[in-house]
Amino acid sequence: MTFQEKSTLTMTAILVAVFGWYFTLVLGPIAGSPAREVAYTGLMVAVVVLLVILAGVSHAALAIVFRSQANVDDERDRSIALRSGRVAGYVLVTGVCAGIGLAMMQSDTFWIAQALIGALVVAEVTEGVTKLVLYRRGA
Amino acid sequence: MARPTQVTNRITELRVAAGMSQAELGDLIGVTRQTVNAIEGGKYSPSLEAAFKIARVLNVSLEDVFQYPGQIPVARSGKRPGHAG
Repeated sequence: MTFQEKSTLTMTAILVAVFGWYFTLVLGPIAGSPAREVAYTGLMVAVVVLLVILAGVSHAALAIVFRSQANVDDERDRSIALRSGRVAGYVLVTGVCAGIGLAMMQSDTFWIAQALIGALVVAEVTEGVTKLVLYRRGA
Repeated sequence: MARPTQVTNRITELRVAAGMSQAELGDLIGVTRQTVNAIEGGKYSPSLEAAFKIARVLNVSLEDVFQYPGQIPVARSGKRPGHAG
């Protein structure tokens, strides 16, 4: 497993865990709350801080454990990154169109924001999963 | 599962004959050991530059390392597409 593959696996797992927690709260208790506009904004700040900390700590740990592989990428890594980025781009565009659709239907800002955040997260997770599949299956 | 490339190669055979590990070959051509493994297993087609480097390091010609078994479509005139004259 290359360093890039380990890094992708770690970041994808962190994204799924953190945003799984975020959407469990936002689509559950927060969606029904009268103060949801304020509540989700505060939660979003906490999520971003948590993501930065987890990503930094996990990558530092990976770089220490696999010192010789750290910051090494080659033509295969770049090819896989390009292909998975293109797949993620389609997912992101679809999600953004959904957000625009909600705005055109005069939906609540809360739901437009969740659609856009969801699109970003699903696109990132799609990129990670596509990379992992390409590393395993061949690119 | 279908192989991502039709290109086959003799890198493993030539590398072992040269007494070289995947990591050593990777270091010489500027790719990781995992990429050498993927090329040897037919999971990844290297760039033209990497292919030339592999042939150079193993001291053989490009076609001694890589083979393409597929048919090349021939134009009606009997000439290969893209060839002038």
